[in-house]
Amino acid sequence: MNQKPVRFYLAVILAFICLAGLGYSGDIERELPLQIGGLYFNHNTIMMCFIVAVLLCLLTWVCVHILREIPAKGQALFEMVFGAFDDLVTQSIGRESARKYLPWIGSLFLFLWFSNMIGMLPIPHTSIGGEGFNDYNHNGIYDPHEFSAEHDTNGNKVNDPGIYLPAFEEPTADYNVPLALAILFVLFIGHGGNIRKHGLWGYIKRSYFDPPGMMGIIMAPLNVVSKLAELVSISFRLFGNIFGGAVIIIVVSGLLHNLVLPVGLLGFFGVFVGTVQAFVFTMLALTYISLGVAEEE
Amino acid sequence: MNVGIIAAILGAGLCMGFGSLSNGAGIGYVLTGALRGWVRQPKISPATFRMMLIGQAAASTPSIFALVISLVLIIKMTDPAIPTIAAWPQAAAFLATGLCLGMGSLGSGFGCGLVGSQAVEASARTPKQSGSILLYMLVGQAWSQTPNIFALIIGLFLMFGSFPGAGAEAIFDSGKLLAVGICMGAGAIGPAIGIGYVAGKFTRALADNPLHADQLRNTFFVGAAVAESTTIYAFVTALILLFR
Repeated sequence: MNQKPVRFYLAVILAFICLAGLGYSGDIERELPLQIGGLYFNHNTIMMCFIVAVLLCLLTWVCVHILREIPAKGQALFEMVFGAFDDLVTQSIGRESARKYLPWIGSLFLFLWFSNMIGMLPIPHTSIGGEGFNDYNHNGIYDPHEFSAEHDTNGNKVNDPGIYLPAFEEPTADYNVPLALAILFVLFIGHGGNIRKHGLWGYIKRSYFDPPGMMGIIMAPLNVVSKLAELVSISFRLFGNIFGGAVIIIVVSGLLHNLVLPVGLLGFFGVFVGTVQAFVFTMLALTYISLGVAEEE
Repeated sequence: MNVGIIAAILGAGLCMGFGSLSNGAGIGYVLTGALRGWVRQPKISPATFRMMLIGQAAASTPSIFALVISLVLIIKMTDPAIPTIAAWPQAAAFLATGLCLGMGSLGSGFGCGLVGSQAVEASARTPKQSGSILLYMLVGQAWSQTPNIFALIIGLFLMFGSFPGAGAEAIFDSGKLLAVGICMGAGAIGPAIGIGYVAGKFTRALADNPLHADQLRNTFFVGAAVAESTTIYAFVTALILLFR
């Protein structure tokens, strides 16, 4: 039995995201102005993750400190969610291990759900001090990520955006967050739990030389590739769905000139897809963990 | 008008056309499961109807991916940088993006429908198990979308990469990029339908025999993983071709 509070698990998740939120340079180029010791940080994503975590901590704190015999609405909802996940984890990996892994799985789902929902709050970019900035670049194209200060020929700062406050975008629409969560849950918790349970050689034998005997040696490279593909597919599934929803909402809002708030689209892509994908990610993480650490009957 | 813009238009059309081709069939197929369920258990038709709606909504993800890619292609078409970079390889990359995502959505669209249809029918057959059937339906549909997600990754690489090949290299690069698109797109059709079939039959078996859920689940995971392996070969081949 471990008695660590929810904030411990959230802290580990956040630390991982901060590590993996490091320098992202792809062909979809973004300005990453927060630079510490040669490493670039995607500060918008990190700030949104912290906002989600703080919200979640406050909510759980409130729900824990108003416990009553006859549950009120909030408490009943929390107990329902907790009970459902307790059942799920117990069914998948057995009663003993379920105590150990339930806090991980539960905080993963709550974190993902709040992350997917928070993009619906209509809060735009803001900044304190400086001249501010707008979301349209010099070509007049909507580009919310171009906001770094420029320098004129005399070396003076122009277009200084000031202290940056994040727009409320889904942190999961940045590929670094799903990838960090996938590495944490599939690689560290899933494979790490497998190694702890079966030993290093037992883990290698069970995972990579899968059908025992001669066939296993032939299949070993393919098993390695399929383990890597697990990592890629679980993270890109979440990213693709949330990012795709965000793109569609932006394009449709632009076509309607933001006259009509696309409530139906937000309902489908925000609420429905967000909930389903948070649940699917959690379920797949639980599945990958359970393949390694399930108790034998 | 240059060749890059034409290729982007063609790619966007192919992508959305192929993408919605079989997804429509898949989403309609969920209804047949619901109808069979209604015939079997007329009393719980509201629950069946709810299940059908969830299944159909979750099954439409592949065509949404295709929609996103074709929208981004159309937006990219108006990018003022295109006329300066319009070489043959760039045009081939746009066309390959459309082919890759369009054909990649073909299989997943139908596979998701297969899972949804069987799951709706199964939940009407054994209403007590409908919670776990819903859960495995979502997992099965997500798994059936895995080939589509590989196609999305390759499509994003193709679309946002820069391919400046010129001269004698140009024709070679163009052919290579088209090959990448066709490899990943066609390689995603079969496995997606296969995984959908496995997951659908698994939900039916779960409804028939809930006591053996553990054994059935292990068989389902192994079967779906083996069915998925061929699309991983296509994915690896496409990546090797792209970055060689």
